[in-house]
Amino acid sequence: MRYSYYPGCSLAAAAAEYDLSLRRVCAALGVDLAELPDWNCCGATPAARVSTALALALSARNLALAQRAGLDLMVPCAACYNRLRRAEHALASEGPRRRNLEEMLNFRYTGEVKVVSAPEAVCRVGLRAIADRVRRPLEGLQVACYYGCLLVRPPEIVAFDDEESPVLLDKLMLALGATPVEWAYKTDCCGAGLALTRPETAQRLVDRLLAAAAEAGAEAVVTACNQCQISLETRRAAASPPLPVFYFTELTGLAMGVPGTGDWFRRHLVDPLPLLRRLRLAG
Amino acid sequence: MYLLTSQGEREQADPRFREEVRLRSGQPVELCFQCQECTNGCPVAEFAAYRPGLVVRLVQLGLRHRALSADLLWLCPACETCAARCPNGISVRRVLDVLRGMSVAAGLVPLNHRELVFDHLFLTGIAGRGRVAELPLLLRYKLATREILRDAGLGLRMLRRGKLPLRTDGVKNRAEVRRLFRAVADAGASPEQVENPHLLRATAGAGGGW
Ligand code: SF4
Ligand code: SF4
Repeated sequence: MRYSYYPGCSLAAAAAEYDLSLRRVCAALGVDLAELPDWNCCGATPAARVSTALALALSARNLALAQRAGLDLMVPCAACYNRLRRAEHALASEGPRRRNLEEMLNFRYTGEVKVVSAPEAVCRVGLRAIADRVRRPLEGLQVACYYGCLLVRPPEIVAFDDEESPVLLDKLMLALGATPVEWAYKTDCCGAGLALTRPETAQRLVDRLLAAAAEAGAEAVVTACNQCQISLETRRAAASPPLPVFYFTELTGLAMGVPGTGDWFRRHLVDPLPLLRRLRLAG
Repeated sequence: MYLLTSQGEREQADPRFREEVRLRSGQPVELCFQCQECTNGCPVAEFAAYRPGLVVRLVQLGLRHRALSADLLWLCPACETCAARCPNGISVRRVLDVLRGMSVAAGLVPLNHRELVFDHLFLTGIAGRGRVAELPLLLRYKLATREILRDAGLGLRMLRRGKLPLRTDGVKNRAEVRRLFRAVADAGASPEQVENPHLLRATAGAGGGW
């Protein structure tokens, strides 16, 4: 399998361990990634807040580049995924929106190339095939799978799984030998959008989530959203449950025994090693 | 017609306001029957004096000033839960984006308002380099809001862990990205496509200071 790869601005910075672990896991699973040449920022929430037209245009430029490259576009960042899917939706519709975008970007949209989130793309390899590659089952790891907002809403445009109760990551965790816990906050908001401007409010939302995950018996959280990972690590109260927050690719890589895990885990602001050592999953 | 709010303030109802919000947001606000599904699912409702359902009600009633002054405008992290749950297909989030733009246009928020400063810096960064460079963005935000010391420790921890690289690449074809900003700002795109014209003009460099 081959994809164009859209890392997005965050994976080059605060979410570097997501990028590193995803590349390793893909290589080990035989999924080729070719970085999309000259990709630009999707505009994220600020562009959408200021102008829907601008948000669509910025995202659509990347779709035009992907169409030229001729491969489906894999997007790990949940925010970018959300914005690119909205642009895809606008381009796939008939009407002035599509014509405007085509005109602005000087291309004709064919619909041959699709936007795919990283968790979908990885799981497309097949959960059985991934389970077969597991060298170190994540036995004893009770984990809360957390999906957040951006991978599921608006459901008619972006959801690739049940919008209120998605299960893709839960199934993946089972394939890796971990135990996903049942909890009711899978798609609740972590307040990442407020992390910088209103940290106290963001912290209330994060603490609510961590408390719920701990109550459900989880010792860690796993996510496919970099906004969530960062806000869950940085906006928690000192007294909140000390759960580490993993990218799904990190746990996949750990279970498959791919090299480089140390370089991912040392970047975490909440050190995951004590937990992993206790479970004999790290040296 | 004057309406009294719970705070005992009087405001004259302005039916044009409802139509303007409806047009600009593309949301059928007249259909809202106050079921409060949006408020029940909203993660920040408990921190807001004006909750999602109430903001829609203010719009319906044409209470312009109340609606444009609602704290929820700036508290909403755009989680989209309201839109996913509303039985009438109303996205309160879209309504809030439009109200933000209108409150800026009405001069109801200072230009050094944090959310506006952040959006402005974020977008001028993209207009300039095509991509976001997180470290300069954070530093500029801290300077503009005079909050240098807040989160300084966190910033250092992130730097040490390689999460805020000093150098990041920009786009090569910056002219094309800039052209998109200009095209949208100049097109006078349909009102439901430009929620905050002031901020858009400021970031597109098409006149209008910030
Ligand atoms: S969910 Fe929809 S109909 Fe119900 S109060 Fe909110 S906006 Fe009105
Ligand atoms: S999008 Fe905003 S208003 Fe709607 S539920 Fe989420 S936080 Fe509340």
